[in-house]
Amino acid sequence: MIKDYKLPAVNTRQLCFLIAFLFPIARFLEAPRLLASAAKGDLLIPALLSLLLQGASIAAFLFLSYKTDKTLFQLIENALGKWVAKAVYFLLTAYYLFAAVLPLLDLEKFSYAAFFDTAPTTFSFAPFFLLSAFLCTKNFKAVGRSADLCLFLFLLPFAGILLMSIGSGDFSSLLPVFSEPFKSSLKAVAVTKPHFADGALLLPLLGSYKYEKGAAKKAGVAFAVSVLFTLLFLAFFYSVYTTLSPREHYAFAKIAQYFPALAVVGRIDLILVYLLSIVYLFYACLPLQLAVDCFCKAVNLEKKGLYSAVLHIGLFVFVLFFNSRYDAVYALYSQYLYPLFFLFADLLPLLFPLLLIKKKTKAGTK
Amino acid sequence: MKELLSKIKAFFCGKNAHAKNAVRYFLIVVAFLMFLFFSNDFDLINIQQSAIVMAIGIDKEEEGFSITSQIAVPSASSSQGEKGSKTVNVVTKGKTVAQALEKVNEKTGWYPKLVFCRLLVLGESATQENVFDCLEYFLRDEYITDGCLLAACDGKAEELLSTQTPIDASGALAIEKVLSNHAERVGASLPNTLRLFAASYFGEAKSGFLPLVKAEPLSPQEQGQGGGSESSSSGQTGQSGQNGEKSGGQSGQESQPEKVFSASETTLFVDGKRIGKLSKEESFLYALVKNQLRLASYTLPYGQETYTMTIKRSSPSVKLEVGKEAKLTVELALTAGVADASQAKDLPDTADEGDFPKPLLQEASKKLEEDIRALFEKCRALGFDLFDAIDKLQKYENEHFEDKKDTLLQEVGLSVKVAVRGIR
Repeated sequence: MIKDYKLPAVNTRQLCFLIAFLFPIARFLEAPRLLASAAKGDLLIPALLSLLLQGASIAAFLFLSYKTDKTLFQLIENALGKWVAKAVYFLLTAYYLFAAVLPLLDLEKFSYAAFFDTAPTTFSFAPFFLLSAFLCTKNFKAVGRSADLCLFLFLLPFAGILLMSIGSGDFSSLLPVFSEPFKSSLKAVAVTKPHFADGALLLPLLGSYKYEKGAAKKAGVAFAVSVLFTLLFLAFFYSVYTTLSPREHYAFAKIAQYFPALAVVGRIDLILVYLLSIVYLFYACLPLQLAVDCFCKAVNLEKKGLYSAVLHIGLFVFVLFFNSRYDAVYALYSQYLYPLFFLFADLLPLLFPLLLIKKKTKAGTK
Repeated sequence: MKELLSKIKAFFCGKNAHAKNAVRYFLIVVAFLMFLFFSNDFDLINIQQSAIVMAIGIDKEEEGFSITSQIAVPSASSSQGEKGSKTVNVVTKGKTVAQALEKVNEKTGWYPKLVFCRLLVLGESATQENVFDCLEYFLRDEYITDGCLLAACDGKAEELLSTQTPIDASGALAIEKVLSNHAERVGASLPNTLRLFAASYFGEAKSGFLPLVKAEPLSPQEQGQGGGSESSSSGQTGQSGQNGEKSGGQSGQESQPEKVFSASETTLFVDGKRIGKLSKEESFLYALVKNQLRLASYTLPYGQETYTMTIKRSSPSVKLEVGKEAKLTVELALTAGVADASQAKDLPDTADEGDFPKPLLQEASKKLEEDIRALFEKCRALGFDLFDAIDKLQKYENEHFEDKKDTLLQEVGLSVKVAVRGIR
């Protein structure tokens, strides 16, 4: 029997903050460029489609947490047996590692471009792995606390960046809506799927999060806020860069730089960018935290430290070798491997509620 | 060492009583490293080794590109009794723009820092072919803002940036003055940035404009009055180096005639190539329709005299309608008053309800309508989409876009209405 961990609860507030303030950051770096490449001025449409899919995954998670207090592992174990549960957790471990790659490479490239004027040393990015390794040794309380921090780290810089960029934008460039063929929007949904795959990030929190009365409404509002932030940011981005949008990397670090006062006082917008980068740090750590947790549960390891250390040394080596193949990795994910994100981030969360039905039938036959 | 190992072991295994402290140490180390992560460059920014590039001039040559980097040189102002900061123009050549810029470091030992570069000037040779051969590097590079000013010039950009001017010790800063927001607001020039120029190039019309910067000589009297104070810190000696490359300090030993810059003319680009230019008067008309001007000055002949009006506010509107025929409607509402006349007038005559303003305003309205039509026809003949008709077709008449986008510019009719309201 797998040891039943006493997981500290992630409360509803933290879950809402996670949805509203942590998840949107994934779409602020490279997703705007990719959306604009495929759908041009219609970039809001594929973004909305992707977000609706994500909304369904979040709804499935809330439904599960409403119906049961069990962890995902226990749920699978009860319905399908221990070995299936272990296999699913191994698969989830692999998926989270796979999902962590793009945020990791994005963050590395972005930090070098935004925070360094000249060639940084190879080890400049190493502190990220130390932070991540530390967070991975912690339980899900760390996820909840990250979410709490994100309220302040996200809201102020986000509002500041939008306010600073409003004067540089030409919002008529978003017109006309539906000017591109719907096929382009679907293509944009596919290529940006890795950036809209947050549905899967909630699954392991099952059992750690205790459903509270009214939580569905609160999470619904948080999700609506997340959608609003994402669409607002994309609209601002495209209005600033219009036809240049498909060429513009690191969207949130750039759109505020045309604020007239910055010519006099310098790039004070970078302070806001730093703050959002910390939110992105937490976001990039999240799949790694989940991967470590899933692996430790699958092999029944109590202490995560050793595995976390080994994983992060491996990731460091991976980043060292693959940062020069950034475009190739991106092409691989967005052209060939994106169906995996649909499978794990959209389909799987919608399938897990079926485990409850099976369990009921079993109980009934007994 | 043993203690450290036991702490590491404690951290991973959690069986040691000091495990809690190990986590704290770890957090302190992480916090310190995160600080380094977010604010590196401590060792890389060395003002003695960094060239703060203020402006770049680009000329195209047979074998590649010639780049003129105007570099600010920090110096103690009291040391030689000079005022203001020195600038140096370093000319480097390369097969690509990046290679040419890299040579700044090879030649001078300075590492060129582009974060403060606020001006790119394209020489005439660079504008004869697709200018994005030169600009692509700056669009890609994350260390130069694409919000920098972009301008063109006749002749060589190198010569323009090397011009001595009494306006400022740095030619780049003097050029930036004639391309300022204020100059744009009063219609004195039509500044453009790399971002906006590139956005128009990648748009459907592929039409863009750049201000044409000129260095105009001062009269001997003017030179005598204004040239003394800062001339010692401006100008390029133009010492020849290897491979025809030059780097020159602003020694002030050689006396060059001082000039002032103007950017009242505008160059037009289609597909990245220079296809024509607008005169000062045409540029003003374009500015009048494109921007909302404030306190702009407009001079017109009326009767036997010449009048100057102050346009206190201009509110332009350009609409495209596509029915059986496509039609552009330009509406320009101006609020203006008579500022001066070539012959003195009594105050009541030039007042709101005086004899002159009403017919003068009507004349201004009529002349502006005619001139705007003529300007449009000139640009149409050049294939330049002056009023963004194709852009408007895509945004507001998208159902006709595929059918009309190639022929619109030649077919579209133009209706111009200028209403001038008098005000003192």
